[in-house]
Amino acid sequence: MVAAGALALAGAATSAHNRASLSIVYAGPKTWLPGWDGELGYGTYYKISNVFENRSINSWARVAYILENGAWTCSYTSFSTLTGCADSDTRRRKAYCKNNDTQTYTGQCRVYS
Amino acid sequence: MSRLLVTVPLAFLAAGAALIAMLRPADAATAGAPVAAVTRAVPAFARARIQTDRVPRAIARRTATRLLLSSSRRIASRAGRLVFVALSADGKLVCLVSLSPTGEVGTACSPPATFTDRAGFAVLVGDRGPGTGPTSVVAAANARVRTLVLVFEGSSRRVHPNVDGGVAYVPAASGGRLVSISSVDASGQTIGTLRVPAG
Repeated sequence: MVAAGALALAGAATSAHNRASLSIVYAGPKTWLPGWDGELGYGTYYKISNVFENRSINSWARVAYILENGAWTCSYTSFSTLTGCADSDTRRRKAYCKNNDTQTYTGQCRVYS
Repeated sequence: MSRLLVTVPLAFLAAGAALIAMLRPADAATAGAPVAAVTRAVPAFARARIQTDRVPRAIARRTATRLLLSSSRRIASRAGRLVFVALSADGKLVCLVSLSPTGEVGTACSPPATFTDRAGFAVLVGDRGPGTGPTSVVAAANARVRTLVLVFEGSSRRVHPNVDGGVAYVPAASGGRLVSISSVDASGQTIGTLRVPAG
């Protein structure tokens, strides 16, 4: 089940984070059943962190960027309450996150710089 | 008057003690977080910081949450991959940060009390997508863990956390999917197992 990024809250400059100039929550905050995922449409995510955060329990989650050719970059999974990745790839790709645990939890997926 | 003579020096003593406590390396490293929980989670936090513990600025700007840079410890380094632990800027999370040779900055954070609570370690697995074998396995283990057993499809590998609790493992390209990770203590008893999801 994919949550379309276009439905997510559009971000803007966030004064709360000194370094943040862009922040888009593209999936959630919501309850994530096992296997649920979300994505933000194709764009250039240069040095932008893709984060599955504020998870209600220590749990498995995946974040990644998916290139237009189907290859995955910055693909990480961790057992934690926050999982994230950033890199310097300049190719067009989409941001992706997933509850790959067998547990249900709450949380949200966000990209920010 | 005599009460004043006692109270004022005591107040100065208390203030001095508080100042000394603030300046101690361990306290500077764990500001805003329970010191015991942080050092219990990862032994590296119990030692003084050294030069190589600094997270390069370029990496710090790309972690998935802002870090308390004065708390960072480099806990492993292997094949061009650097692994750090640090507190989040608000002190509410302990973070495992992995910098790959290609410039990917992976981050995994949890509250200090649960960071290594479930199985004795926190782990961050890099791969090329669901169902693929890992390109890296980095972990931070607590002091009880002597060995991590990485079980792949068709093989297994035992790795030993260093004195900081750090693990940086780069599997062979043909290693297969990582199925589970178990922690083992000094007596050979399994502390816990995390089954790594295929998806």
